Amino acid sequence: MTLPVLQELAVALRKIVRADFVISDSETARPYECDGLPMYCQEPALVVLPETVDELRQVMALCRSRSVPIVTRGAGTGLSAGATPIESGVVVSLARMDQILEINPQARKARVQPGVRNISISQAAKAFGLYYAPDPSSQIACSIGGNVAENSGGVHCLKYGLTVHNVIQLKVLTAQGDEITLGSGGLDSYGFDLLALLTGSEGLLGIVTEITVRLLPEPENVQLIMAAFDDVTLAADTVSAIIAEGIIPAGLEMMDSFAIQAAEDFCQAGYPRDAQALLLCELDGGHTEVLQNSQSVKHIFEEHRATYVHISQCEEERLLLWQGRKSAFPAVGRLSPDYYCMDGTIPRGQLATVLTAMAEKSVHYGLRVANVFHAGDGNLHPLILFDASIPGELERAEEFGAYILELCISVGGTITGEHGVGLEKIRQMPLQFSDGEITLFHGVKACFDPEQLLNPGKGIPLLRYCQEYRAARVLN
Amino acid sequence: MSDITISLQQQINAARKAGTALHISGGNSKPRYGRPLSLERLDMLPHKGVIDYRPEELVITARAGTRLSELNALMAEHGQMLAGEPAIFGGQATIGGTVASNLSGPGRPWYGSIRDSLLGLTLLTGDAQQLRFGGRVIKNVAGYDVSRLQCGALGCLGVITEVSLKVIPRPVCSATLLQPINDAQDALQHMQDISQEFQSITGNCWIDGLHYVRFEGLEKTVAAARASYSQRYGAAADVEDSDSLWASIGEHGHASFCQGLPLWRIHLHPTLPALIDGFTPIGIDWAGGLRWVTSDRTSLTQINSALSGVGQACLMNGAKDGEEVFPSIDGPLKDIYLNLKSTFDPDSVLNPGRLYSWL
Repeated sequence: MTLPVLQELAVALRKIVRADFVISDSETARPYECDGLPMYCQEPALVVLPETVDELRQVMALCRSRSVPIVTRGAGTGLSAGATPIESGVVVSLARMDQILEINPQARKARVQPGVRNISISQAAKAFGLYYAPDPSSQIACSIGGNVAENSGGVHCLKYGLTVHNVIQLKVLTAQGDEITLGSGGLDSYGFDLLALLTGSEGLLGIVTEITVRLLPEPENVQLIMAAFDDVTLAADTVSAIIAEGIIPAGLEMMDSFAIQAAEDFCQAGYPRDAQALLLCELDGGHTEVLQNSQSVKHIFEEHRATYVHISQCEEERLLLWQGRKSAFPAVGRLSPDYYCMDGTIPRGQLATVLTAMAEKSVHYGLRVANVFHAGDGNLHPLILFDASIPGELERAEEFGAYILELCISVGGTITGEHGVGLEKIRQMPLQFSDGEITLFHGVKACFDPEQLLNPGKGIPLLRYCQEYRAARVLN
Repeated sequence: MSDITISLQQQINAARKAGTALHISGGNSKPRYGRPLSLERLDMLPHKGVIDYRPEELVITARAGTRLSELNALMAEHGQMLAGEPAIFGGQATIGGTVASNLSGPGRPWYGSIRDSLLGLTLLTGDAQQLRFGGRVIKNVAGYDVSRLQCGALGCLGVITEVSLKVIPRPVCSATLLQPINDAQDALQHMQDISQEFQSITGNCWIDGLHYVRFEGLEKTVAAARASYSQRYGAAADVEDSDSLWASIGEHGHASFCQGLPLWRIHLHPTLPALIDGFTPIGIDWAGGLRWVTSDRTSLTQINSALSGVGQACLMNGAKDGEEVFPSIDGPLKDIYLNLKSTFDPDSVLNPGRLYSWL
């Protein structure tokens, strides 16, 4: 966008949205140059923060009339560079559309605007003994609109599902400016499941303006069982053994020795420092069920040669044990100038194989890797530690990351379990999808956004690129 | 086990070439759901067999023509089951049709739907391309969720040839109690009250003046819930053959459903009053979130405008020739439907008219 065009667009936007919420100076726009994956930065031409649906609609109409692409942004906590600005585009932040419109305890649902933070929903519902289940690690900051765009998961997905399982209704503005309502208001809908299609569509198909989520009753009882192992493989096998027993934990998390020590240094959660692997298994439900299942899980841990098993004795201790897990990323981050968080998912039975292969490649690339992940879901989050100031390290980290994603695909998994494709994993999409499938994705995009106004260039690679990528792999 | 993908592709290509269309058909177990078609049949029944089942992974993958009853029996051997309690319709239902219709049974609010448990599928598009979406892992957000888009699409966006589903552990113990409640509104109130009180409910239904509640979980949990319920609500008797009862409700085979009048199936907000469009429901399920009305004195438009914004009704049987059976859509949403149809099935070969006359 040339400077005069940009200035003229800013003037027009300021007629729609209060002047100080149209950001055109470089300094104020700087925080919007990336999301939670700062390896991808692009200074935005303009940032606009509408307050109402009507303002948003007018902003979209203006951008459309000038063929200016829009990147929608929630809290900017995404981990796949899905909200990275486009050079000649406008960033539309929904942070000001942050009202909780309704909490209906009888119907166990909440109706909210997209800028509402994930945790705020549970906080508002708590007065009624209810909560919103999906809890990404960024839940104190991330917005529900961003959760819908990414189909976010969290620690409790195995039992309670991802965002797509917990959204009842969406109001969406299409690229043409039409408002459509998806979802019947009941549990199921007739016809095409557009609600599922929009969830996880990474801001490419529409802009969500209102979200109705289901709320769950807080469980009667919750217990956390921690087990330490002196071998990662044993811990990985134990994960499958718990599931095979017919127990579905509310959360089943694993950390390797690197992550255990980092977390312990960071918040003294009480983890055994000498363990090679740690499992945290949370059980929730009725009192009797939790007590009985806790004993079963303890027994399984012991059978699988856990070196230490501990059941949380009180709520404070349970929260402290979780704090270690939830702060593992920043804790590992203290050990290295930069880290790169991956997000592949694999069948649970392949955990041991994949962890071993990653450890070998860590030596090969000369880069440390810490593992903190949702073991129950098979959703890996290897953290590759590197120093971007050392020439070549960033490239090696990316190469290592690409190797991990290819490994996930080769054992029957996926390149992204919950973070999304964005810009980051667009290179690996041809590994998971054929040209026919990618073509269909482009077709779906065109059904909603024929003019390519919404977050173009993210999520789905160009076909030409896929062919080049495959050809390069063959040559290598 | 047999894979007839190639012959399915040939039949699709032949229909395209001839300018005709196909009616995708498995066990033909849901002829009353969706608009009837008189087209050449694309027979999915020979395309059957379980491809992969790993109980410890909680994942099953099967060809679309596999009978649901066969899958249920296999999973029961490992103490597992599908979410949503989809009806087997006398053993006729196939897994492909179950996914395409996404018709859930009585356990749906507590166990989730088939749509919720779908992990991935293989699809033949209208130009006979074989495409795969999703996968066999619990979490997967790469690309658009084209898999779940098929749930409820009734084959209009492609022929489902293979599905991967998340399975869940079968509860160790189950008990169903019944008690008479004459009035629909009283029944609804009771259903809502007990939903708030008991966490181990997995069935909560009212039909023919009888309310049924099902508790499931560990033996101790079920025993405690049952004792507490009986003490609190008095006259509650045990249902002996509860499996048949819940199956009959899921299959719309219950005596109340067979009155010869048009049957309306309504999804709605569970807290709405019992009376819909002035009609008393003959049945209420999903703790209030699913209602059935039999009447020939309303219309699709009338009943859906009474539900505007809070629910949707479809006509399960009794549709006259050419009549629509699903809630009408128009404007931008209709354009999106048409665009999607032409993207997935450009020559309109697959189940045209099954969902809507214009689709």
